[in-house]
Amino acid sequence: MRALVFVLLGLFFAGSATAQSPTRFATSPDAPIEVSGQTIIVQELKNRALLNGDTKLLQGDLSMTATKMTIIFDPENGDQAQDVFANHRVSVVDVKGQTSQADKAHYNIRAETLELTGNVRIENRNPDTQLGTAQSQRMIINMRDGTSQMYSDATSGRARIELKP
Amino acid sequence: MASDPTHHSRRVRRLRQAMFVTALALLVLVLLWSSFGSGTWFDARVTSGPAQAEMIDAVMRGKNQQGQPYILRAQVLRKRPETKSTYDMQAPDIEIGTRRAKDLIQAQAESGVYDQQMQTITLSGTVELRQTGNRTIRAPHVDFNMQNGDFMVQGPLQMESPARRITADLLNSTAENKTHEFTNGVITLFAKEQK
Repeated sequence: MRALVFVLLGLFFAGSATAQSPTRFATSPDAPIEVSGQTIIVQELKNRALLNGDTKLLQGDLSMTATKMTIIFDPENGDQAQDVFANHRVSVVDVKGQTSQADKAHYNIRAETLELTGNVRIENRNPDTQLGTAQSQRMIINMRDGTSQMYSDATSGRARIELKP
Repeated sequence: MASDPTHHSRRVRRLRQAMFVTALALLVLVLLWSSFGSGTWFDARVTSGPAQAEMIDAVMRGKNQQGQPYILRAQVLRKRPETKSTYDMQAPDIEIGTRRAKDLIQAQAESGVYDQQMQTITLSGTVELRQTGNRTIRAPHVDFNMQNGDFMVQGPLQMESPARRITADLLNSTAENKTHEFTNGVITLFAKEQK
């Protein structure tokens, strides 16, 4: 018998809902970040780098792929990265087999947060964890401890988490 | 009326002196003009071999068409006999200012080719190119356009600074808008910011 428990989180406050995801991502915030693409165009005057073609970000146990990525550099130190933005078919995977997909992502390197927005969906293939799938419009992963918060907005309805028994 | 032979020889001597001074002035003018143009070799020890002359420890200073200064050094420099202005260099060491005056590019290599007419330098071997901002590029081959400061690097190449390292197969760098386009298997590493 397929035993799944659906938990619909209706914690609405001013038209929005928040849920603590019952799983942790495997993160390595102190590891170097590797970003690759078929082309990288570094525009020094705009303090950014544009990556195209099978772009991938890898930091220790966590990786993110997307069609395009943009790296924003610190204007005071042009080679130091501040943010990474990913667009179109964003997928975040950790070594434990947890996969997240979204329309966009923003990795704030200084704040150590990875924010996924637009049709966010988590799928967990790790049999040892309770989480099956989760959906929301926005999710923020704390890259320091791996915890995540899921948010919905007034137009998209509730954040939804599917738990395994 | 018969001319005075003593007076005549004095006039000839003065004429010769005037011609010598004029020639000297013209030579100085030509040297000055060339130093403001494509460059002047100096500090070079010239030796002649059986086939061609070569310059040892050659140093050239000049300005490109945009008025940016450059210094070109080579342990050995030989002019290619079949060309008018192409030189083969051993152990070249160049410094080139780019259009943005505060930017300076320095490069060293095992060998190079300098085309004075086209204002291009091709560097080969273990090329190390240093840019303003403590960046270093290492690659086996660099084509440098001295007129505008643009350069193309053929890899495998590595651009490294304290905060990042980029490896790639090809780099096209444009000095005017300070854009670097890396292609083929690009990977970037970021050092974690020190807190």
